[in-house]
Amino acid sequence: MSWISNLFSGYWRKLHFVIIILLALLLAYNDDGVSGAVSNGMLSVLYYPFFKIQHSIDDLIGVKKDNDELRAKLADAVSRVSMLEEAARENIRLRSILGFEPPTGYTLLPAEVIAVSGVKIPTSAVLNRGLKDGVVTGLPIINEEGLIGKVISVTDYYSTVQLLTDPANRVAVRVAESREMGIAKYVMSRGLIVDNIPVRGDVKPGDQILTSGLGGLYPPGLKVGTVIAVDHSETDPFSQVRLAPAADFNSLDELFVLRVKGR
Amino acid sequence: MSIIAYFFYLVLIAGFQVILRPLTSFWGVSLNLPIFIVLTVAWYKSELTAVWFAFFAGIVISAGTPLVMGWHALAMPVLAWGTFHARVRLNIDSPAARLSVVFGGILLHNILTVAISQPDGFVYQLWRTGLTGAVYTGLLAYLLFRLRDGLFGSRRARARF
Repeated sequence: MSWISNLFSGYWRKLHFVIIILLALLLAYNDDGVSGAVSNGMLSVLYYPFFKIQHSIDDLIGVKKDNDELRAKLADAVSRVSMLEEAARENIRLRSILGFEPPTGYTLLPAEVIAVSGVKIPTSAVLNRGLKDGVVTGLPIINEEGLIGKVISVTDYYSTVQLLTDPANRVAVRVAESREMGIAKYVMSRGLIVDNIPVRGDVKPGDQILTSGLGGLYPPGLKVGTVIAVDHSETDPFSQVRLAPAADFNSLDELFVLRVKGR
Repeated sequence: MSIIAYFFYLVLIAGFQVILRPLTSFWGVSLNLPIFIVLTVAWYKSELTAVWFAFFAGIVISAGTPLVMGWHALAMPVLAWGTFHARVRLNIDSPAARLSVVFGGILLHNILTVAISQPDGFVYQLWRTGLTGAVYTGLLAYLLFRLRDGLFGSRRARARF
């Protein structure tokens, strides 16, 4: 019986091969009908979930790419807006100083602050003007608000300014209304003060303090500050006057070097 | 092994064709995981199981190209049949024999695929994608066999597949 079983087994095996070959040939030579239908069935049943997954992955990759591009554009736009805002601020500043006139007998040399130094408040600044521009040591520096300081060192292209807020700086001043004179200096603990105004003097808060012109360093009439308080003791013959500086030393930007006309 | 497991392999092949194949391809060279699975089944399972699985795998891999579906459905069973008959003449537990037969099968399939799908510029395409793809897939096969043998041992791997 075993040879019958083997015969049947061999026949059965060959039948499988014949079926497979016939099916394959059917698919090969009837591509419009059977293989198209099989293909559609495969794609819609077996492949469809993977197409969905692939589509989602592509979407995610696309979203990430879009996100990266938008981030780059946003960073670019933010930096452009920042630059435009700075240009607008500069425009406003330049407009405000457009009609600014120097004291009689002086000319203005525009300069930009390129560095400041100081611990709590700026005490010195570096300008982009130097010997090549005619800047020399001792020239006053002002802006449209008032006195800023004086040049203390110069190189060919740069100069260093000792600001009014440097405790070592001294400026001869007078009260605009009462004409009383004194020396203005900056004290870290109290701010800008004038400390040798006589007690009997007529100084009151709101008075303007101007350069007196004494000493020859600063021309007379430059605005130094405004009186905010007058302090005096019973034993001291002098009052101490506290000032609000005319210029804002925390936002120095465009300044002017004050040069004597003709030099 | 139940028919569900073979169906799972067919689903795996479809998933590979859609998602993993594009991700693992470079310079036009891609992995041929379907033939690796077919040859591995042929190496471990019966003749009829191998050829029927190979037939359906051939249909699955050519689902997107119905014009050549029949030829793939014919080529795959032929390779599975050849692998089965090579294996019965070789030491089934020999890693070298197994890898040689599987690599040879992969190479033959790539040659047939290029001949079926890209008859124009056959020699160039054979060199450009056929041989390189076979080496690429052969390396993967080597790593997978090493991994399986390391995890289960070759005899237990045979039992599990």
